[in-house]
Amino acid sequence: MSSISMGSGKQVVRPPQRGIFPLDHEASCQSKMEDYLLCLKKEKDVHHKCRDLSRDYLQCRMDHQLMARENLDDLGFSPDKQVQGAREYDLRKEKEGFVAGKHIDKESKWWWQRPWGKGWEN
Amino acid sequence: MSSSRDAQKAAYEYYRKQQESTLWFKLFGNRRKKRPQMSAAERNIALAWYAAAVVIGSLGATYAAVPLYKVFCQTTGFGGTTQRVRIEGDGSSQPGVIESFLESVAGKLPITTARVHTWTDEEAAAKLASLKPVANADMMTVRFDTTVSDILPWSFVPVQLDVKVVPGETALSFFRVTNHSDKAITGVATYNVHPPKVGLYFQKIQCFCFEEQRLLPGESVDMPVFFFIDPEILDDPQVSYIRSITLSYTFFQTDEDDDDEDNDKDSEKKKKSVA
Repeated sequence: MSSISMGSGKQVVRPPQRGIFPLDHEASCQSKMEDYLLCLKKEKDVHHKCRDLSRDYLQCRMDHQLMARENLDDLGFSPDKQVQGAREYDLRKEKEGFVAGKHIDKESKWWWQRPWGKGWEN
Repeated sequence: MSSSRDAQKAAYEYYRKQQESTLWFKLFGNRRKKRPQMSAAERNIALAWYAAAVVIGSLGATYAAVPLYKVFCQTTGFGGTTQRVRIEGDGSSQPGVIESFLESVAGKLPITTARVHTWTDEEAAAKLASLKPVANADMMTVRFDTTVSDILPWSFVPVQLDVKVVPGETALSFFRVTNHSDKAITGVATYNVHPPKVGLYFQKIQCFCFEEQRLLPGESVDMPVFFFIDPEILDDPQVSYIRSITLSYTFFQTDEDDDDEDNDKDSEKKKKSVA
Protein backbone atom coordinates (compact mmCIF):
# COMPACT_ATOMS: atom_id res chain seq x y z
CA MET A 1 0.00 0.00 0.00
CA SER A 2 1.45 3.28 -0.94
CA SER A 3 -0.66 5.30 1.44
CA ILE A 4 0.03 4.42 5.04
CA SER A 5 -2.56 5.60 7.51
CA MET A 6 -1.28 7.26 10.63
CA GLY A 7 -2.86 7.02 14.03
CA SER A 8 -5.33 4.48 15.26
CA GLY A 9 -7.40 2.81 12.67
CA LYS A 10 -6.87 -0.62 11.37
CA GLN A 11 -7.48 -0.58 7.62
CA VAL A 12 -10.50 -2.65 6.68
CA VAL A 13 -10.12 -3.91 3.14
CA ARG A 14 -12.81 -6.17 1.81
CA PRO A 15 -13.67 -7.70 -1.54
CA PRO A 16 -16.61 -6.12 -3.37
CA GLN A 17 -20.00 -7.69 -2.90
CA ARG A 18 -20.76 -8.48 -6.51
CA GLY A 19 -17.23 -9.09 -7.62
CA ILE A 20 -15.22 -7.35 -10.28
CA PHE A 21 -16.45 -5.40 -13.30
CA PRO A 22 -15.07 -6.89 -16.50
CA LEU A 23 -13.08 -4.35 -18.48
CA ASP A 24 -14.90 -2.49 -21.22
CA HIS A 25 -12.23 -2.84 -23.89
CA GLU A 26 -14.41 -1.84 -26.86
CA ALA A 27 -15.81 1.19 -25.04
CA SER A 28 -19.32 0.05 -25.84
CA CYS A 29 -20.84 2.03 -22.97
CA GLN A 30 -18.69 5.08 -23.43
CA SER A 31 -21.54 7.34 -24.56
CA LYS A 32 -23.67 6.49 -21.54
CA MET A 33 -20.73 7.15 -19.29
CA GLU A 34 -20.13 10.54 -20.87
CA ASP A 35 -23.79 11.49 -20.46
CA TYR A 36 -23.55 10.64 -16.80
CA LEU A 37 -20.34 12.60 -16.35
CA LEU A 38 -21.76 15.66 -18.09
CA CYS A 39 -24.76 15.51 -15.80
CA LEU A 40 -22.49 15.29 -12.76
CA LYS A 41 -20.56 18.32 -13.92
CA LYS A 42 -23.78 20.24 -14.45
CA GLU A 43 -25.27 19.28 -11.10
CA LYS A 44 -22.06 20.01 -9.21
CA ASP A 45 -21.26 16.38 -8.41
CA VAL A 46 -24.49 15.66 -6.59
CA HIS A 47 -25.13 12.05 -7.43
CA HIS A 48 -28.83 11.62 -6.79
CA LYS A 49 -29.69 14.11 -9.52
CA CYS A 50 -27.96 11.92 -12.08
CA ARG A 51 -29.31 8.65 -10.77
CA ASP A 52 -31.19 7.78 -13.93
CA LEU A 53 -28.11 8.17 -16.07
CA SER A 54 -26.08 5.91 -13.84
CA ARG A 55 -28.91 3.43 -14.07
CA ASP A 56 -28.72 3.66 -17.86
CA TYR A 57 -25.01 2.99 -17.75
CA LEU A 58 -25.44 -0.14 -15.66
CA GLN A 59 -28.22 -1.30 -17.95
CA CYS A 60 -25.91 -0.81 -20.93
CA ARG A 61 -23.27 -2.88 -19.19
CA MET A 62 -25.72 -5.68 -18.63
CA ASP A 63 -26.86 -5.55 -22.26
CA HIS A 64 -23.31 -5.89 -23.52
CA GLN A 65 -22.54 -8.75 -21.14
CA LEU A 66 -20.17 -6.64 -19.11
CA MET A 67 -22.05 -7.15 -15.88
CA ALA A 68 -24.06 -9.98 -14.37
CA ARG A 69 -27.75 -9.55 -15.11
CA GLU A 70 -29.57 -8.34 -12.04
CA ASN A 71 -32.70 -6.52 -11.16
CA LEU A 72 -31.60 -2.91 -10.98
CA ASP A 73 -34.24 -2.24 -8.35
CA ASP A 74 -32.27 -4.42 -5.99
CA LEU A 75 -29.18 -2.37 -6.61
CA GLY A 76 -30.77 0.72 -5.19
CA PHE A 77 -32.48 2.13 -8.29
CA SER A 78 -36.13 1.44 -7.55
CA PRO A 79 -38.47 4.44 -7.53
CA ASP A 80 -39.16 4.21 -3.81
CA LYS A 81 -35.45 4.66 -3.10
CA GLN A 82 -35.34 8.27 -4.13
CA VAL A 83 -33.09 10.51 -2.12
CA GLN A 84 -35.15 13.02 -0.17
CA GLY A 85 -34.06 16.11 1.61
CA ALA A 86 -30.35 15.81 1.04
CA ARG A 87 -28.53 18.75 2.56
CA GLU A 88 -25.28 20.08 1.34
CA TYR A 89 -22.72 20.35 4.10
CA ASP A 90 -22.08 24.04 4.56
CA LEU A 91 -18.89 23.92 6.65
CA ARG A 92 -20.77 25.69 9.39
CA LYS A 93 -18.99 23.79 12.13
CA GLU A 94 -15.54 24.63 10.83
CA LYS A 95 -16.38 28.28 10.35
CA GLU A 96 -17.89 28.78 13.76
CA GLY A 97 -15.28 26.83 15.65
CA PHE A 98 -16.13 23.85 17.81
CA VAL A 99 -15.07 22.09 20.96
CA ALA A 100 -13.91 18.54 20.35
CA GLY A 101 -16.22 15.99 21.90
CA LYS A 102 -19.22 18.27 22.19
CA HIS A 103 -20.72 16.86 19.00
CA ILE A 104 -21.44 13.54 20.69
CA ASP A 105 -24.99 13.82 21.94
CA LYS A 106 -25.76 10.16 22.56
CA GLU A 107 -25.30 9.12 26.16
CA SER A 108 -22.51 6.69 26.82
CA LYS A 109 -23.18 3.04 27.48
CA TRP A 110 -21.14 3.05 30.70
CA TRP A 111 -22.42 4.44 33.96
CA TRP A 112 -19.14 6.11 34.92
CA GLN A 113 -19.13 8.13 31.72
CA ARG A 114 -22.59 9.51 32.21
CA PRO A 115 -23.16 12.84 33.94
CA TRP A 116 -23.87 12.32 37.63
CA GLY A 117 -27.04 14.22 38.23
CA LYS A 118 -28.82 15.87 35.38
CA GLY A 119 -28.16 19.50 34.75
CA TRP A 120 -24.60 19.73 35.98
CA GLU A 121 -23.64 20.76 32.49
CA ASN A 122 -25.18 23.83 30.94
CA MET B 1 41.87 -9.04 60.39
CA SER B 2 40.88 -12.14 62.27
CA SER B 3 41.12 -10.24 65.51
CA SER B 4 38.43 -7.84 64.34
CA ARG B 5 36.26 -10.80 63.40
CA ASP B 6 36.81 -12.36 66.84
CA ALA B 7 35.86 -9.05 68.39
CA GLN B 8 32.69 -8.98 66.30
CA LYS B 9 31.81 -12.51 67.40
CA ALA B 10 32.41 -11.63 71.01
CA ALA B 11 30.16 -8.60 70.70
CA TYR B 12 27.37 -10.73 69.12
CA GLU B 13 27.68 -13.27 71.97
CA TYR B 14 27.47 -10.54 74.56
CA TYR B 15 24.32 -8.99 73.18
CA ARG B 16 22.71 -12.38 72.59
CA LYS B 17 23.21 -13.31 76.25
CA GLN B 18 21.82 -10.00 77.32
CA GLN B 19 18.70 -10.54 75.24
CA GLU B 20 18.18 -14.09 76.43
CA SER B 21 18.19 -12.98 80.02
CA THR B 22 15.19 -10.66 79.58
CA LEU B 23 11.67 -11.72 80.53
CA TRP B 24 10.31 -10.92 77.08
CA PHE B 25 12.67 -13.35 75.45
CA LYS B 26 11.90 -16.06 77.96
CA LEU B 27 8.23 -15.80 77.18
CA PHE B 28 8.20 -15.15 73.43
CA GLY B 29 11.68 -15.43 72.05
CA ASN B 30 11.95 -19.17 71.82
CA ARG B 31 9.05 -19.37 69.41
CA ARG B 32 11.10 -17.98 66.56
CA LYS B 33 11.62 -20.74 64.04
CA LYS B 34 15.16 -21.71 63.50
CA ARG B 35 15.75 -21.42 59.78
CA PRO B 36 18.69 -23.29 58.37
CA GLN B 37 21.35 -20.76 57.67
CA MET B 38 22.36 -20.80 54.03
CA SER B 39 25.88 -20.12 53.12
CA ALA B 40 26.74 -17.38 50.64
CA ALA B 41 27.31 -19.91 47.88
CA GLU B 42 23.89 -21.48 48.44
CA ARG B 43 22.22 -18.08 48.46
CA ASN B 44 23.90 -17.18 45.19
CA ILE B 45 22.76 -20.38 43.56
CA ALA B 46 19.19 -19.80 44.72
CA LEU B 47 19.26 -16.28 43.29
CA ALA B 48 20.62 -17.60 39.99
CA TRP B 49 17.73 -20.07 39.77
CA TYR B 50 15.18 -17.34 40.47
CA ALA B 51 16.70 -15.09 37.80
CA ALA B 52 16.72 -17.88 35.22
CA ALA B 53 13.07 -18.63 36.03
CA VAL B 54 12.14 -14.98 35.42
CA VAL B 55 13.94 -14.92 32.06
CA ILE B 56 12.39 -18.17 30.85
CA GLY B 57 8.98 -17.15 32.14
CA SER B 58 9.03 -13.87 30.25
CA LEU B 59 10.23 -15.59 27.07
CA GLY B 60 7.35 -18.03 27.35
CA ALA B 61 4.87 -15.22 27.95
CA THR B 62 6.14 -13.46 24.83
CA TYR B 63 5.56 -16.54 22.73
CA ALA B 64 2.15 -17.21 24.24
CA ALA B 65 1.02 -13.61 23.75
CA VAL B 66 0.83 -13.90 19.96
CA PRO B 67 -1.95 -16.51 19.67
CA LEU B 68 -3.68 -15.26 22.80
CA TYR B 69 -3.86 -11.72 21.41
CA LYS B 70 -5.18 -13.02 18.12
CA VAL B 71 -7.95 -14.92 19.88
CA PHE B 72 -8.73 -11.84 21.97
CA CYS B 73 -8.95 -9.60 18.91
CA GLN B 74 -11.15 -12.01 17.00
CA THR B 75 -13.55 -12.43 19.85
CA THR B 76 -13.91 -8.82 20.84
CA GLY B 77 -13.43 -7.21 17.44
CA PHE B 78 -10.95 -4.82 18.99
CA GLY B 79 -9.53 -2.32 16.49
CA GLY B 80 -11.82 -3.41 13.69
CA THR B 81 -10.75 -7.04 13.34
CA THR B 82 -13.21 -8.96 11.22
CA GLN B 83 -15.18 -11.64 13.02
CA ARG B 84 -15.14 -15.17 11.84
CA VAL B 85 -18.35 -16.31 10.28
CA ARG B 86 -19.88 -19.16 12.24
CA ILE B 87 -21.99 -21.42 10.10
CA GLU B 88 -24.79 -23.17 11.96
CA GLY B 89 -24.31 -26.85 12.50
CA ASP B 90 -20.74 -26.96 11.36
CA GLY B 91 -18.80 -28.97 13.88
CA SER B 92 -15.42 -27.89 12.63
CA SER B 93 -15.86 -24.27 13.63
CA GLN B 94 -16.79 -24.80 17.27
CA PRO B 95 -15.35 -22.08 19.48
CA GLY B 96 -12.46 -23.28 21.57
CA VAL B 97 -12.17 -23.09 25.32
CA ILE B 98 -10.20 -19.86 25.28
CA GLU B 99 -12.60 -18.24 22.82
CA SER B 100 -15.72 -19.15 24.78
CA PHE B 101 -14.14 -17.80 27.94
CA LEU B 102 -13.13 -14.60 26.19
CA GLU B 103 -16.57 -14.22 24.68
CA SER B 104 -18.18 -14.45 28.08
CA VAL B 105 -15.77 -11.81 29.36
CA ALA B 106 -15.96 -9.63 26.25
CA GLY B 107 -19.57 -8.77 26.84
CA LYS B 108 -18.63 -7.14 30.12
CA LEU B 109 -15.55 -5.33 28.92
CA PRO B 110 -15.84 -1.59 28.25
CA ILE B 111 -14.77 -1.81 24.64
CA THR B 112 -16.88 0.45 22.49
CA THR B 113 -15.24 0.09 19.08
CA ALA B 114 -17.41 -0.80 16.14
CA ARG B 115 -17.71 -4.51 15.68
CA VAL B 116 -17.19 -5.59 12.10
CA HIS B 117 -19.65 -8.10 10.78
CA THR B 118 -18.42 -10.39 8.05
CA TRP B 119 -21.31 -10.56 5.60
CA THR B 120 -22.20 -13.76 3.89
CA ASP B 121 -23.40 -13.40 0.31
CA GLU B 122 -27.08 -13.84 1.09
CA GLU B 123 -26.94 -11.29 3.85
CA ALA B 124 -25.16 -8.82 1.61
CA ALA B 125 -27.71 -9.29 -1.17
CA ALA B 126 -30.61 -8.94 1.26
CA LYS B 127 -29.09 -5.83 2.75
CA LEU B 128 -28.54 -4.32 -0.66
CA ALA B 129 -32.12 -5.01 -1.71
CA SER B 130 -33.47 -3.34 1.41
CA LEU B 131 -31.09 -0.40 1.29
CA LYS B 132 -32.78 2.98 1.35
CA PRO B 133 -31.13 6.38 1.18
CA VAL B 134 -31.42 8.16 4.51
CA ALA B 135 -33.92 11.00 4.32
CA ASN B 136 -32.89 14.53 5.29
CA ALA B 137 -29.26 13.60 5.72
CA ASP B 138 -26.18 15.67 5.01
CA MET B 139 -24.43 14.75 1.82
CA MET B 140 -20.98 13.28 2.17
CA THR B 141 -18.31 14.11 -0.39
CA VAL B 142 -16.45 11.07 -1.62
CA ARG B 143 -13.13 12.16 -3.11
CA PHE B 144 -11.07 9.98 -5.38
CA ASP B 145 -7.35 9.74 -5.26
CA THR B 146 -5.13 7.60 -7.46
CA THR B 147 -1.54 6.44 -7.43
CA VAL B 148 0.40 4.37 -9.88
CA SER B 149 3.42 2.31 -8.97
CA ASP B 150 6.61 3.90 -10.32
CA ILE B 151 7.54 1.06 -12.62
CA LEU B 152 4.14 0.91 -14.23
CA PRO B 153 3.99 3.07 -17.41
CA TRP B 154 0.30 3.72 -16.98
CA SER B 155 -1.61 6.86 -16.27
CA PHE B 156 -4.45 6.42 -13.84
CA VAL B 157 -6.83 9.28 -13.12
CA PRO B 158 -10.28 9.61 -11.63
CA VAL B 159 -12.65 10.98 -14.25
CA GLN B 160 -14.61 12.92 -11.66
CA LEU B 161 -12.78 14.26 -8.64
CA ASP B 162 -15.61 13.87 -6.15
CA VAL B 163 -19.19 12.75 -5.83
CA LYS B 164 -21.68 13.91 -3.22
CA VAL B 165 -23.66 11.03 -1.80
CA VAL B 166 -26.13 10.44 0.98
CA PRO B 167 -25.66 7.35 3.21
CA GLY B 168 -27.68 4.51 1.75
CA GLU B 169 -27.51 5.76 -1.81
CA THR B 170 -25.75 3.61 -4.40
CA ALA B 171 -23.39 5.65 -6.54
CA LEU B 172 -21.23 5.17 -9.60
CA SER B 173 -17.80 6.63 -10.28
CA PHE B 174 -15.21 6.18 -13.01
CA PHE B 175 -11.47 5.93 -13.34
CA ARG B 176 -9.52 6.09 -16.57
CA VAL B 177 -6.42 4.01 -17.10
CA THR B 178 -4.11 4.36 -20.10
CA ASN B 179 -1.25 2.09 -21.01
CA HIS B 180 1.48 4.32 -22.44
CA SER B 181 3.98 1.61 -23.24
CA ASP B 182 4.30 -0.68 -26.25
CA LYS B 183 3.82 -3.87 -24.28
CA ALA B 184 0.71 -5.49 -22.86
CA ILE B 185 0.90 -5.07 -19.12
CA THR B 186 -1.16 -6.58 -16.34
CA GLY B 187 -1.83 -4.58 -13.23
CA VAL B 188 -3.67 -5.03 -9.97
CA ALA B 189 -5.35 -2.31 -7.94
CA THR B 190 -5.76 -2.02 -4.21
CA TYR B 191 -7.68 0.59 -2.30
CA ASN B 192 -7.73 2.54 0.94
CA VAL B 193 -10.48 4.51 2.59
CA HIS B 194 -9.71 7.54 4.69
CA PRO B 195 -10.66 8.16 7.54
CA PRO B 196 -9.88 4.57 8.50
CA LYS B 197 -12.93 4.03 10.69
CA VAL B 198 -15.21 4.92 7.79
CA GLY B 199 -13.76 1.92 5.96
CA LEU B 200 -16.15 -0.26 7.94
CA TYR B 201 -19.13 1.52 6.40
CA PHE B 202 -17.87 2.05 2.87
CA GLN B 203 -19.28 -0.88 0.95
CA LYS B 204 -18.41 -1.54 -2.64
CA ILE B 205 -20.87 -3.47 -4.72
CA GLN B 206 -18.63 -3.84 -7.71
CA CYS B 207 -15.24 -2.43 -8.60
CA PHE B 208 -12.05 -3.26 -10.40
CA CYS B 209 -9.74 -3.95 -7.48
CA PHE B 210 -7.90 -7.10 -6.44
CA GLU B 211 -8.07 -8.69 -9.86
CA GLU B 212 -5.49 -8.52 -12.59
CA GLN B 213 -6.44 -6.17 -15.37
CA ARG B 214 -4.63 -6.51 -18.62
CA LEU B 215 -4.20 -3.53 -20.88
CA LEU B 216 -2.93 -3.79 -24.40
CA PRO B 217 -0.27 -1.30 -25.54
CA GLY B 218 -1.72 2.16 -25.96
CA GLU B 219 -5.12 1.10 -24.70
CA SER B 220 -7.27 3.33 -22.56
CA VAL B 221 -10.08 1.89 -20.46
CA ASP B 222 -12.70 3.39 -18.17
CA MET B 223 -13.20 1.45 -14.97
CA PRO B 224 -16.29 2.01 -12.85
CA VAL B 225 -16.75 1.63 -9.12
CA PHE B 226 -20.25 1.04 -7.79
CA PHE B 227 -20.50 1.68 -4.06
CA PHE B 228 -22.65 2.89 -1.22
CA ILE B 229 -22.14 4.15 2.30
CA ASP B 230 -23.85 2.05 4.95
CA PRO B 231 -26.59 4.05 6.72
CA GLU B 232 -25.36 2.63 10.02
CA ILE B 233 -22.57 5.20 9.86
CA LEU B 234 -25.00 7.70 11.37
CA ASP B 235 -25.41 5.54 14.47
CA ASP B 236 -21.71 5.39 15.23
CA PRO B 237 -20.86 8.60 17.12
CA GLN B 238 -17.20 8.27 16.26
CA VAL B 239 -17.78 8.73 12.53
CA SER B 240 -21.28 10.13 12.12
CA TYR B 241 -20.01 13.71 11.84
CA ILE B 242 -17.65 12.98 8.95
CA ARG B 243 -18.56 14.72 5.70
CA SER B 244 -15.58 13.99 3.51
CA ILE B 245 -14.32 10.53 2.62
CA THR B 246 -11.35 9.77 0.42
CA LEU B 247 -11.15 6.61 -1.62
CA SER B 248 -7.65 6.09 -2.92
CA TYR B 249 -6.63 3.44 -5.41
CA THR B 250 -3.14 2.25 -6.23
CA PHE B 251 -2.15 0.23 -9.26
CA PHE B 252 0.70 -2.23 -9.09
CA GLN B 253 2.27 -4.17 -11.88
CA THR B 254 2.00 -7.92 -11.83
CA ASP B 255 3.02 -9.07 -15.24
CA GLU B 256 4.51 -7.74 -18.41
CA ASP B 257 4.78 -9.53 -21.70
CA ASP B 258 5.82 -8.75 -25.25
CA ASP B 259 2.81 -9.46 -27.38
CA ASP B 260 4.05 -9.58 -30.95
CA GLU B 261 0.89 -11.01 -32.39
CA ASP B 262 -1.31 -8.29 -30.95
CA ASN B 263 0.65 -5.37 -32.37
CA ASP B 264 -1.20 -5.29 -35.70
CA LYS B 265 -4.58 -4.98 -34.05
CA ASP B 266 -3.38 -2.31 -31.69
CA SER B 267 -2.20 0.11 -34.33
CA GLU B 268 -5.82 0.56 -35.36
CA LYS B 269 -7.00 1.41 -31.84
CA LYS B 270 -7.80 5.05 -31.22
CA LYS B 271 -5.63 6.68 -28.61
CA LYS B 272 -7.91 8.54 -26.27
CA SER B 273 -6.45 11.51 -24.54
CA VAL B 274 -6.64 11.66 -20.82
CA ALA B 275 -9.20 14.19 -19.60
